[in-house]
Formats: sequence, C-alpha cells, structure tokens
Amino acid sequence: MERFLRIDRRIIFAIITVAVIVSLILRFELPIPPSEPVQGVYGKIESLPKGSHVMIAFDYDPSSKEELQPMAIAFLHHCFSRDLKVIGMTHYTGAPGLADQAMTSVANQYQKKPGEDYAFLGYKPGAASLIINMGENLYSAFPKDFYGNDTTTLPVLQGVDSLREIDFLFDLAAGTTIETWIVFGKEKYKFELGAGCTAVMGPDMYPFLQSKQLSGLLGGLKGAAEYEALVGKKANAVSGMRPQSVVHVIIILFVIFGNIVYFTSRRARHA
Amino acid sequence: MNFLKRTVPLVIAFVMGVLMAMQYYVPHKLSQDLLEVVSRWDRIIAGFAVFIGAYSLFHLHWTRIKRKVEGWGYSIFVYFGAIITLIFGFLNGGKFFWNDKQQGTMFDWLYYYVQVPAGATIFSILAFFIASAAYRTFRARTNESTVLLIAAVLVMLGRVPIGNYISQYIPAIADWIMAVPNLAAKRGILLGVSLGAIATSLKIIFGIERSYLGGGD
Amino acid sequence: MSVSQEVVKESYLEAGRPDAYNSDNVFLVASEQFPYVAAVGGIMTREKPAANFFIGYFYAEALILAETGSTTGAIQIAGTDAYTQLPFFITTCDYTLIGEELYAASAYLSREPMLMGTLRAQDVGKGILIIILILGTILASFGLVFITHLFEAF
Repeated sequence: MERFLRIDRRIIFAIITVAVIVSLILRFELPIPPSEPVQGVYGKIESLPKGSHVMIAFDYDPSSKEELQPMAIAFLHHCFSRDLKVIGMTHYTGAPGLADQAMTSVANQYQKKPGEDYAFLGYKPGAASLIINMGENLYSAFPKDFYGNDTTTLPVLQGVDSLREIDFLFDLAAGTTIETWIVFGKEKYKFELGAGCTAVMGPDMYPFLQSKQLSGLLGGLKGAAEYEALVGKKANAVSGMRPQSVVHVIIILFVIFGNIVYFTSRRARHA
Repeated sequence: MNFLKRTVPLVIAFVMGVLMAMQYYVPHKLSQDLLEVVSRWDRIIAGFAVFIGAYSLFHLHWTRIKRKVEGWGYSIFVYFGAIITLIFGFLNGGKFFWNDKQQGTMFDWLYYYVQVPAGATIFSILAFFIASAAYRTFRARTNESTVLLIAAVLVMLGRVPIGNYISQYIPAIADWIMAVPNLAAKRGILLGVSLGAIATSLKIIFGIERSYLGGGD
Repeated sequence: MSVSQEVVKESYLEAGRPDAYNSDNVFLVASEQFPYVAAVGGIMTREKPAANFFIGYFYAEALILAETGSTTGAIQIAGTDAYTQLPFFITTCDYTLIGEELYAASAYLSREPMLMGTLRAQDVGKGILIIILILGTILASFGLVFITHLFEAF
C-alpha cells in the first residue's frame, strides 16, 4: 500500500488527461441552477427598460478568454435580446480583437447596427485615470471609437455624457480592474456595477458582493454556464462543465484514496 | 553626490507621496488633471524601466552563450524569439513603425498563434498539478486539516453542476462556506495586509524606509 | 529590477561577503506571468536550488512554481498576501507565511527597531479597526447608519 503514497505523478496526469478527453467526447446533460451572485447580474439586466445604456468593460487578454469570452457572449445575448444600448471598451491591449469579435457576432444575430444600437470604443491606457476621465467626460476619454468614428455623432451615445448616465456597467476582468472600477468608478459616479471574473479571483470579490458594491458576480466558467442557461443560449461554457465536473470528482476521489492509503499504511506500521 | 543620491530622491518621494494621497480627496478639476498627467509620467517611466530589464536579460543570456554554460542553447532561443518579434513589430505589415499599428500583421499572428497558445498551455498545467498536489498533500492528519479537507471537498463539488446533481444542499453549503467563513478570513487578511501596506507607504513617503535607494543608510 | 539588485548587493555587504554578489544572479525573466513561470520552472529543474523562497504577490503561476520546485526536492518557503494563491502554497510548500506574517517575519528575524515599531503600529491600527467594527456593528444593528455617509466618495 505504501507504494501508492509515492505514485509517479505522471500516472495522475495521465488519468486526468483521459478523463478530460472522454468527457469532452461523451455528451451528457448536467443541471445548472443559477447561484445568487449570477442571478444578481441577470436580475439587474431584466429590470432595465428598453433603450437603457449598458457599458461592458472587456478587461481581459487572450490567455483568459476561455473563461471570460463565453460570459461576454451570454451577456451580450441578454442585452441585445432586451433592446438595450451596449457600449464596449477595454483597459487591455490584447482585448480589442476579442471584444469586437464578440460584439459583432452577437449583434448580427439580432440585426443590431453599429453606431445605432451598440458601439465599441476600443482600448485606452490609464486604468484609474481613464475611469475618472470617462466619469467626467466620456467623449474626451474616447474622441473616436474603435473604427475611427467621431463618438459625439454616434446615436447610441445620445444621452450619455459620462459614466453618470450609464445604467449598468459590467466588468469582465482577468486582473484587478474590478476593484479599480469600484473605487474610481462606482463610488464616485454612482452607477450600478456587475462583474465577471476568472474562477480563481471569485473568492476575492465576495466582500464587494456582500457590501452591495457589486450587484452580481459571474465567477469562472461555471458562472458563464449559469448565465448561458439563464438566457437560454447554452454554448461553450455549458459544454465546459462536463470535463470540469469530471475532473473535480476525480480529484476528490484521489484525495479520498490518498487518505485511505495513508491511514492504512500508518496502521500497518504501528501494528 | 550624497545630495543627488539621497536627499533629492527622498524629497521627490515625500512630495509626490503626499500630493497623490491628497489628490484622491480633492474633487477639483485641477486635481483630476494632475492625476492624468502623473499617470502619463508614470507610464513613461515604466517604459524606461522595461529597457533596463531587457538589457539585463540580454546581457545575462549573452554571457551564458559566450561562456557556453550548461543549457546555453536555450539562451539562443531568447535572442531568436526577441529578434523575430522585433523585426515583425518594426515592419508593421509593410507600413513600418512610424505609422499607426496595422491590424492582421505577422506580429499579431505571432501573438495570437504562438504566444497565446503557449501561455494557455502553461496555464493548463495547473489542472494536472493541482491533482497531483491534492493527492500528495491533502491528508487528514489533524482536526484542522480534517475540517479543511471536508470543506475543500464540499466546495469542489458545489462549484460544478455535478454537486447539485448529487444533492441540492451541496451547492448551498459551498456558497455558505464561500460567503461566511471564507469571506471572514479574506477580510481579516485584507485588513491586516492593507495596514501593512499603509505603514510601508508612510515609511517610504517620510523617508524612514530607504532600501529602495540601495547602498544602506 | 534595479531595486532588487541593490537590495541583494546591500545584503551581501551587510553579511560581510561582498565578493559573493553576482549581478547576473538578479535578473528580469519576463514581464508576463506564463513566460515567467516557464523560464523559472526551467531554471529550477536545471539548477536544482536547495531552497526556494516565494515572497510577494503571485497570480496563477504560484502552483506551477511551487509544484515544480517540490519535484526537485528543494525546501520551499512562501510568503504572500495573494489570498487566492495561499491554498496552493500551503499544499506544496514546507512553510507558508500568510498575509501580514510576511511583515512580522522580517521584524522577528532582524529585531530591527524600525521593523518592530512598524509591527507595533500595525497592531495598534488593527485594534482601532476592531473597535470601529464593533461600534459600527452596534450602530448598524439599531439602524443608525449616518457614519457610512462620511466614507462616501464626493
């Protein structure tokens, strides 16, 4: 039994590999009930009247796109299906391509027109100073949008001079931008804020959920899957739940097995 | 020389530290403009710092190649990768670097099809490593580690749909663990660390902490 | 990086071994986390250091670094306030300093008056925060939330 305690880790890696491959090939349905943080974001969007302005901050780079892009797409589906005006921007240099792809592909499914129903402002450096700039005057922060159009002429931005006029802001974050948006954005300019983040950052955001500084939170691929299920557009995130569930169960079985072997060999040594 | 190496940096640290701390609480437009200007300076200085880091990296690997230190072959790849990326960056899709960055160039291709997949591959190693680390070290040796183990199992099950499939209470318990004890611990650590950061910042602003200047007191 | 080089050089000097300092030993590996962890993992596997110290703020690279280090048989000590990476360090490192234990450890080891004084100040600060938390909880329990308006941004 003792040799199981010193098992070559490559055997563990091989078992995980097989589990992920098999669960990707075999299709099975798992129930995905929405959690309270995810319902917070969903409920907020449901409460907005038609024509409200929603801003999405695509604050992630391609290395985090597997978790955050499905969230972005599900959220865009929700916004466009409710005829909300969507404004996108980003703090990350690697994000514009992903953001533009998400907005354009989803908008086309609802026959939404760029400039009229949605706008992508693009990337600007600055983090906190950019947020403050947007909070004072959106047009001075982004004089042109991603495609080079003058932002003062865009119909979708009518009625929006700064962040104060934004009805809801959704930050998709791979880094620390959520806290920056809370400190320099929400607290100063008083807009409603929701967030989506990678699974490992989720626990960090719970204090802000409890203090109601965040209306809701989509944490990791599961958060994205729950949102996809809520809006009725099951896609990559829901598919990703299969291998994730299987791997979690396998890790738990490894842990239980490791403890059984440990206690058995300890008893054998004392006997 | 001591004036330039010691006194001037300390004065700059003091003035800028106090100014930026006060800036956050002043709502006047001048204060916002100051923040924007200082942020721009900060980005420019950070850009120069990259040169220092890059020089250090290339110097180190050049020395390794010259002395044929063990593993010097890997150092050639540092130069190879950097030179290829620089060439395509400067070429900018044929428009060269003095024009705005073009979309869909070879530089973008290298980023999206070489660097991003390589980064994602390294990221994916985490799944394997957590499995092997969990198997090796999650032992119920003491009462505390048993509680930790049970909490870990419940949260791992509760964070995937299969937990709800097994029992509707598992996700509820997992959410409670995240929202109550986890949150309490996180707040405690956050408060303690924030106090430490405030103390260190005050020491730097008032010139008590000078290790960043180097060379001792 | 230059600050790190100065700190290491100064430490060698204080230990009486200025000759042992090699500036090539303190270098920038990469500015992104995954190239960084790929390079450091390779260095750990090839050079097999006897001890690894992971001090500072870490993101996703924490587990990869610590697990790679443990395969080489090194003693590993981590000190971080990266709350989300603490579980990974605790499972893979021999000793882990959690959050502000990092500050306390340097004061404990060196016994320098400045560091000890800072630690004392942090303890006093924590005491003040605890009193404020208790007072705030009592006031909020009776519906008296006027103090929260003091902390609203302008």
